[in-house]
Amino acid sequence: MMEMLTFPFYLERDGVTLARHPRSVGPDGSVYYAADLYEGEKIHLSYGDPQAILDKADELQIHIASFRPQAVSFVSCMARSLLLRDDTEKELHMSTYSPSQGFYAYGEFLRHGGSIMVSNMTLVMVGMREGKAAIKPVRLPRRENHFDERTSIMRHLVNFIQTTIGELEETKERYRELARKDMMTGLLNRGTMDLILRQMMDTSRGWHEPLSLIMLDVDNFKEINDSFGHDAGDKALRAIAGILQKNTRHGIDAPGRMGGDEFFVLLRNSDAERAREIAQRVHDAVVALDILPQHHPITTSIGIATAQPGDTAALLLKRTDEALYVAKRRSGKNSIAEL
Amino acid sequence: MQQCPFYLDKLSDIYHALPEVKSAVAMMGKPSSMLVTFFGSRRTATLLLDAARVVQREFPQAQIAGTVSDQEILNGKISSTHVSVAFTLFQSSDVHLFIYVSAVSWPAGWR
Repeated sequence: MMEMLTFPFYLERDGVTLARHPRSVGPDGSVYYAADLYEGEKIHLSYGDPQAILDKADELQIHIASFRPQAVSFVSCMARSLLLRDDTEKELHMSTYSPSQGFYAYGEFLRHGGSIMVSNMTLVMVGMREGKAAIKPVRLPRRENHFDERTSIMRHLVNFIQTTIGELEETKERYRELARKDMMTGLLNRGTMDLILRQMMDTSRGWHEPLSLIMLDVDNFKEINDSFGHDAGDKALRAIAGILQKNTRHGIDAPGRMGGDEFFVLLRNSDAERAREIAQRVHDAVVALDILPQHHPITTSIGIATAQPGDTAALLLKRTDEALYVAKRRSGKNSIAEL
Repeated sequence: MQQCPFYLDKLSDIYHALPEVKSAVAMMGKPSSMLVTFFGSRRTATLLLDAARVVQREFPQAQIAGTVSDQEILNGKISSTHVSVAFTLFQSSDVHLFIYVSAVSWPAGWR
């Protein structure tokens, strides 16, 4: 139980950090929580630092005290009192400012940003007054910062865990980023594209927004590699990646590399006209590259398709691929085709 | 608004608290509303209900609400062996209580 309290999970929801601690374990090994977790939410291992908890409670109390309440209601989580034990009352010294009453519960809720939020391990304070609020900054009485032995040991453990968790999260994030990206160009990779394309298809259907896809292939790439070496070929790929990034909206469109010398760009909320404009800009910028020995030109073939009603991600991808094929085979490369 | 909070150890404590509350009511003149909130643990649930009945008799106009909880807070002090009661007198506000009974609610004090 202590470990659960000291190291609960936390998650971010609607810009708010929420803690979740397990309440019990079922006979089949399943874990029960007092508050909700939605499928797909990213949860993190957390830690209960008594000092940080009390500091945060002070911050909240100063805020409420500045409102000069005539009465204060507390609803706190029993997990806090189990965690803080003899130090629990240190988070309630708001009471020096006004009468207060409250209780420890097994789950708290309050309305935040228009929706009801079920919480765990939180301290909810409601300051009440009648008439106009006379908001004045206040100082709370100095809190005794001496913790009992058990809490003190816990603090040291928390510091250790905090550092370890920080490093683990960092490493995990790095791996996650690596798994999403193409190593050579830093663009999204094929797997990520499939995922984002499906998400974008759903969004565009839901919001009735257009969605276009561009696929791009470097003409005669093998010849570049054979003539000037793989370093030169890689250099060309990185330069094209840079062009795609420069000519698309950061955080909205999704440029990536399919593999080899094939690239793609998912154009969110973009109709065929915008897709044509982007394709043309990219095409021209690639032609203008002068990075290979002997001023050897680099050209690309580009296929464009815009999602039609009833399209699936696979259908859109297939049509764009066919458009690329048209640009490459029928139009004699260095061209743009649209289907 | 004025709040008068008390801890109750035994039923007679509510009778000792009443004069202070009545004096606060008299000082305010005619409160627009009175909200009385009770919090107690399972161990003190009987005392809580008995005390609530006394308050109901003494202040028929009072809105009374409360819960059986894990521990109680009163003026910065925590107790699991007392009932906490707070009389909140409002000068100009109206207080209405609503009860929502849900089929999926946990029994009070569920562990």
